[in-house]
Amino acid sequence: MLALTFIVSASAQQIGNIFDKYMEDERFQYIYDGSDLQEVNEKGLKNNGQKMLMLNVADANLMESFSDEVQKAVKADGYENSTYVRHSKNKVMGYVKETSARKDEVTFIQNGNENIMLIWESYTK
Amino acid sequence: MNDIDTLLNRYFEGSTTTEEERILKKYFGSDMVAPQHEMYRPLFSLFEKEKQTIIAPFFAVPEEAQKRERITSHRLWFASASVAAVILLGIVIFPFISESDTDPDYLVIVNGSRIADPQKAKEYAEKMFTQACEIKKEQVHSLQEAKEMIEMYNAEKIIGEAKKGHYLNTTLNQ
Amino acid sequence: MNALQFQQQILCYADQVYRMALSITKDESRAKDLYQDLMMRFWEKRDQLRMIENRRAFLLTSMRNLCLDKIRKEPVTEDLPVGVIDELPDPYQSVEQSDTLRYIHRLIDELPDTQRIILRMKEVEELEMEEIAEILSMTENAVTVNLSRARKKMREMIIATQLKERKHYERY
Repeated sequence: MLALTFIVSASAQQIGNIFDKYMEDERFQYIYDGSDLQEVNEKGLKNNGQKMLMLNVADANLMESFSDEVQKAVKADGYENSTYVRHSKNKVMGYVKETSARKDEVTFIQNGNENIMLIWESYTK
Repeated sequence: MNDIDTLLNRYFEGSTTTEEERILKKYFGSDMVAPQHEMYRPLFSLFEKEKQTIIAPFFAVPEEAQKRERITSHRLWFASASVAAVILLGIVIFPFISESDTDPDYLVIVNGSRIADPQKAKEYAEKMFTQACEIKKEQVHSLQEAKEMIEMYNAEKIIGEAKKGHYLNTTLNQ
Repeated sequence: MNALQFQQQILCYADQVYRMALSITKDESRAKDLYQDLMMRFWEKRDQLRMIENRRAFLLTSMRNLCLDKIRKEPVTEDLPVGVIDELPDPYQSVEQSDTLRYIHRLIDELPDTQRIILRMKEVEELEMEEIAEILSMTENAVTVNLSRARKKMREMIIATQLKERKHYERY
């Protein structure tokens, strides 16, 4: 395993745990993008990396349990639900957590019963 | 000239095909217009003239948002003081650049197996994040703003309201 | 969508969009204002434009709706005495470099609005009947009927003018 770490402060623990838990799971795809680290975007925030987990396996039980885990995690970590868009079987839920020092955004995308994408973007101010 | 007469008749009936109209346009644009057809020449050349002469005014595309500042990670990586400060804040640890990796910025694990090729990993990551961005934008923005757009440019609604104002009744009934 | 893409994908229809405005409003400065207004709105909503399949139809429909909307709110007075109409600025001045073209153009202006607009969409913009129907929210059949009426009317008016002129010359 590569010595790549994305250590975050305790307040974003649960979401981080989900990524750690499933990153090497055969049923998932995991992507970490640290290419723009420290780049300042148009909102004046510094990029701290992005992570993505994708579930493409048609396993209804896994989908459900994974969704539940994510729900619990965002709640435990203190995220606020910023957007909820439903369009027939597609769902996009956005969560934001902002403190004076950092901003984290989690997006949960579900495409029917086939795909789930979980994305975590982290910024410092 | 029989052909042209036939075509002209069909043209005024509104039953010419695109190809037939092309033939008529070519004919009227040529030097060989028969005297009995001369009176129709301006009709055909007017449309041609309009197409060539009437052009849209210049639209100045507004300036786009300021490009973001680019602070490369390399500069910060070597500025150890700032790295230490960031670590102290407990926020993030910069990627560890190991020797075998030319591009350590991406880590992609597909179904339990890591994509070793850094270039492939990068491509895959970029593709996926772009896709996610698209989906997010499309779902969230499109739903909200498409509704606005559809409302604004709702032909039926605007015509319906115009009809109430009796403006269109007179023209459409002709 | 950035500025260059906007240029390539939206502004490529600029002339058609502007001519649509001119054809409907028959007023150059109004058409120019409406055109700028619409382009600005398209720029602001450029990301949503990506989703639309038939852009040309959408752009032209939007222009038409905007024109009708504006006309409804600020109607152009139609009942002017004949003499006054002749003095209004002619938006097609650049086109009419000869008397013959000018007279044909006057004839076209005498057509009812819908017929005139459809005639231009077919002859100048070279749109298909299907697309014209979509943009004007009419059935294809209605478009065909209007087009043939417009053309027949043009023929009538041209022939009538010819007869008048012949009679005029025959006097001498």
